[in-house]
Amino acid sequence: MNSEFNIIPVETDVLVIGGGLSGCMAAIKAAEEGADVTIAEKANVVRSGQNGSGVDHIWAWIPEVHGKMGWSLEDLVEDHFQGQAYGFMNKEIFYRIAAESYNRVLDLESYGIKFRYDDSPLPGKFRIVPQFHTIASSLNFDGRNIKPILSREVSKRGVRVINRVMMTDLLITDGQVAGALGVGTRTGDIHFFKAKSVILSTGRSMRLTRNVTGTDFNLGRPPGMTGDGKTMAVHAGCRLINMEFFGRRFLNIGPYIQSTGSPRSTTWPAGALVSSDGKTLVRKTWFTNWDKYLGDGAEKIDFTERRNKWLNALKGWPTAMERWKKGEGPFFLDCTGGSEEEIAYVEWSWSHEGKGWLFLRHLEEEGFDLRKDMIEFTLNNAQMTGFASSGVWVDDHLETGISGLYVAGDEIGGFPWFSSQGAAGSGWFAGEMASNHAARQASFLPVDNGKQEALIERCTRIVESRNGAPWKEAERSIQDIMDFYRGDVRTEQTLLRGLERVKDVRNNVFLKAENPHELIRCLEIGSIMDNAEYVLKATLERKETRMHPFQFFRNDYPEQDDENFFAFLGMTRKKGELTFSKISLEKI
Amino acid sequence: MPPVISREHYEAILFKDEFPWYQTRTSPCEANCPAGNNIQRTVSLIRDNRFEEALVNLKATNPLPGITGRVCFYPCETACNRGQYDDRISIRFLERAVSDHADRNKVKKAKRLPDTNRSVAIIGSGPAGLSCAYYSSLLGHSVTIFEASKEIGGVLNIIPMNRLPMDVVKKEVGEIVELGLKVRTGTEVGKDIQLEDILNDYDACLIATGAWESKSLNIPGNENAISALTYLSDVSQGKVYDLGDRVVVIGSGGTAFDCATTALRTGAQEVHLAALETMDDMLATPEEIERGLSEGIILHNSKTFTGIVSNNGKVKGIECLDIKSFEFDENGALRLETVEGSEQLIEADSVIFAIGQGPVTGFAEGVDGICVSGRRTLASEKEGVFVAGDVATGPKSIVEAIGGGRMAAMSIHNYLTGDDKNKKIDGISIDAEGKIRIETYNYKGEGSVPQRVVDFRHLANVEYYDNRPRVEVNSLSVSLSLSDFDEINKGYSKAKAIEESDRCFHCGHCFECGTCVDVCPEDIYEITEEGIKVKYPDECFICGACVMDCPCSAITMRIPAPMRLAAVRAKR
Repeated sequence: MNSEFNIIPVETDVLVIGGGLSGCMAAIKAAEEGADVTIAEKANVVRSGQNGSGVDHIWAWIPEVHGKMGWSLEDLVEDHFQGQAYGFMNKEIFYRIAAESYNRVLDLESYGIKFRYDDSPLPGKFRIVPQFHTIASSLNFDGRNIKPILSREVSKRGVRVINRVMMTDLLITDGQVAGALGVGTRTGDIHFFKAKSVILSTGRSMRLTRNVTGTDFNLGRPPGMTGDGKTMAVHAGCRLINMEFFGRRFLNIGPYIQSTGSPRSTTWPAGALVSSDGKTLVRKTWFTNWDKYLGDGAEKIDFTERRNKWLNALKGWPTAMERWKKGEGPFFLDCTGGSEEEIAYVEWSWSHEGKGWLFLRHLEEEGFDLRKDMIEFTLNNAQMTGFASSGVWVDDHLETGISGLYVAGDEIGGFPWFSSQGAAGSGWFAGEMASNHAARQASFLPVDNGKQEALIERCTRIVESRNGAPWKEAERSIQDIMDFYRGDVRTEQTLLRGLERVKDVRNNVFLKAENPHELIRCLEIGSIMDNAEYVLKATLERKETRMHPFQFFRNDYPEQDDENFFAFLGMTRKKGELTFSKISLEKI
Repeated sequence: MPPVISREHYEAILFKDEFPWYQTRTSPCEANCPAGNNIQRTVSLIRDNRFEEALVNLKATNPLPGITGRVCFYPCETACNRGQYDDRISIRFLERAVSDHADRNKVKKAKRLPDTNRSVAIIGSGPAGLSCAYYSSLLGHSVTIFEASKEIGGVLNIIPMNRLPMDVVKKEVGEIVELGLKVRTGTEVGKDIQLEDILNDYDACLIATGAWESKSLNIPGNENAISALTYLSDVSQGKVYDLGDRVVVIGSGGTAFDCATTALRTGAQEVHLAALETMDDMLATPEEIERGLSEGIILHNSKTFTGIVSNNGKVKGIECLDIKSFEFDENGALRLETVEGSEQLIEADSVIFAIGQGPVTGFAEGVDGICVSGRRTLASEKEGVFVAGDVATGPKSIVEAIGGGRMAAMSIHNYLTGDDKNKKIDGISIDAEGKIRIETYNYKGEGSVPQRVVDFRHLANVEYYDNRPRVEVNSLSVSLSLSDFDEINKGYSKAKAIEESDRCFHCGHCFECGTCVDVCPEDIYEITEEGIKVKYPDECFICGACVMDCPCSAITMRIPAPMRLAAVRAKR
């Protein structure tokens, strides 16, 4: 491959890095505020990100439903704060997102996405099911084509979309963001952006552990999401939080479905969890009886008391892995007890959620019918859990410590189970903030060439390498390290050794690429190594075991230590070393 | 390799044992064609103005495209996915256009394989027999056709000429005979020659004698009814009938309508058609019914018939009752629910029975190994003796007979050349020069992706296509057509055929639009000269974007083994 790298310069007010759900909402809002906006996307915006093949749910506080029944916005926020985050959440921002949640639904509807259904008994005709909160708050909707639709809306507003570019470096001048650098995934060109504000929205970090199914890339979320945003943020001097909250392997319907989770998630009013011997372990869920809350003669409900009951129930709830270890498995999803209406609902919502569409095709072609057959839960990967728990720390304006640098979506740290509403809402908010910032800045900041030269050098070494290793070898090494030293047993010694081994790979394994596609895979190894290091380091720093919210454990610190560790562990890179400081949390 | 892209054939396919590995998805038109025509390749070749290659492609599975292109009952069109969008593709007229316009001087015809020194006797020269004769001859065998009547063609000769002109039949049949077949007309097996003698003299034999026995209603006066087959057959040979002013045809299928439209043109003033079926359930195609009504045929639906009335030897009409419902039970017996007090007479000077046909099997009875079923169809367990067409299946269609004839030719070929019993024919194709290539196999590789038919709802973003109605075919006005037997439909010109072919969705066959390449998040596809390929199969994460967004639904996601669904049947 030719190591002459073309430089492609772009100047823009607001640069959005990552064109998924949050990135597109950010771009739309920023454009509506009058900014010149550019999206830099590693894949193609039309089907990129976690919602590429669709999303079937979005939580929202609906005034005409929730307000009417007396369940307040504060109730929703408190449910989330206690029941999902167990205190590990920025309540201020979450409240703001929740307050705007209905507006985001209306925005999406205005783009042509269907949310209302004739058979719904609710005001507004929404289909709402329980998922994250004590009261049903997740709207199921026709979200299969949310990305093509957002892609169109983005273009309609004149946003410049640059697909097929992997972003690698933020350019910082005097503590302010000045632009960013990336590499064309098909061309190897160096993309040099000058921007007045930047939004990081590259989502979660994948490929840090070996895929349990035996096929490398078969993941529930795009493997191209390699935590590039976090890497860039750390190298720019930003703080990350919660990187230690990297979950354990769990059970799912194979790695097939993006997120059907357990029978208690939104998509299964018909699903029960049963064991091989026919014993029902979790009984089937059901449609909410809205008359209880909204009809004439609806009871007055004490929502605080309800929440407390819910929290108590959650405490004793065993995870699937715990059940597996107790010998209760194998486990099956059993919808056969569902009514035709319930099963049709399940199939409909699956068809709009990620791989669910393909999954239903597979079911049909194999002759499986949820009305008669049960489907087994098998192993799925450990991964960064909880949506936007681990990520870049931001203030109440979604800004990092670097002026003009904002974060949106799963990239943000501190919002467990932020989910699609979190992505849409934080995107919108970040878009507003970033465009305001850009409007206040008269001109572009100067940038020195150092980073660009370093990137070219980095790419040149890879493409000119003769005896270098293929990128897969390096990825496997990191995955093995993560699985072994931070797998079922973690102690100070295993974690330190793991970090040593990552350093060894970084310093001694050189990669080679024959074409731009492979070059990008090699560059991704950089992000993967960095993210693995962040996770190992943060795990080392949290000297306790804390089962909720994320089943974090240390074999050498088996007790929960609220006095010292009821806090975000903020991690920053100073003088080449990762250092920590605590950020206190609001009391529960 | 997770995604598998289904593509069109790249040459004419005469036979395929199983679907080819590169065609994991197919279109409803192809799945529903009883002759197994490779319709999409024909349509693509028309679109590219390659009519001569299109003819070779058509004849690879159907040697009579000019005929089926006129009279087929078009199950392909009925199934066409575009029909659920705006108008179904006019596949039948496209097929006809190829036969009408391909320059026979430029066609690279399929070249007969070298002589095998094996002889095949074909008894019956209707579509099944002709089809089998054609392919058997192409494969190098020496073919002799035995035909009872004076002309070869079977039912092809009795279809009214305004639907199927005689010169078209002669031309199409001629292109079969010119391969070097021997033809013995005026030779009825069972009368002029015995079946046993044929079996002794030839290495293999096909019985394709059709279904030439007319059914009759078991009612008083039925001896005064005219059989549809006799009527149409006689008219085709120039015999003049005096049916009187008023004719009633009993039956609702294509044959009934053929009788009715023929009667209208040979002196009848008023033609009625009466049948058991309701308007919606009539057996003829909607096109034939519509045409018949526009010609003024008077329909009487939901009737059962009780007797033909005559006076002094002259037919006066047919008595009937209204019925509420009817059905044929497992044994073929008719059960009716009549309306009390609904006795009526349909007045007519002639009554024609067009209520069905059955095979004549007397000549084969008593021959060891040849069985006659309760429905009087023939089946053969005798070595070297094969059956095809209506005599084997009961009355079906021309296209089904053609398909059956080709399949019989394959069986015959296997029988005649199968020294190595393990060797089976995998496929027979015809290349661009007309050379026939046979591929055999001892053992077959196991495929792991079955072939699926593309459903309309699988097509992505169909609404991106502009609505375009079918290109109209010129046809004679009703008043003009009633005066004689000039062909009613004029078919497509080359330009119109090309225009119509452009509407095809190409269900299940990649036409390289590049959408998959565009949308794939992991960029695993590449565009090559041999089409779109998966370059990085290991990097597919089974997101389904390509499958979802493919406008012709040509992509199948092969589910990797570790992801196979683990399910059990519920015990409840």
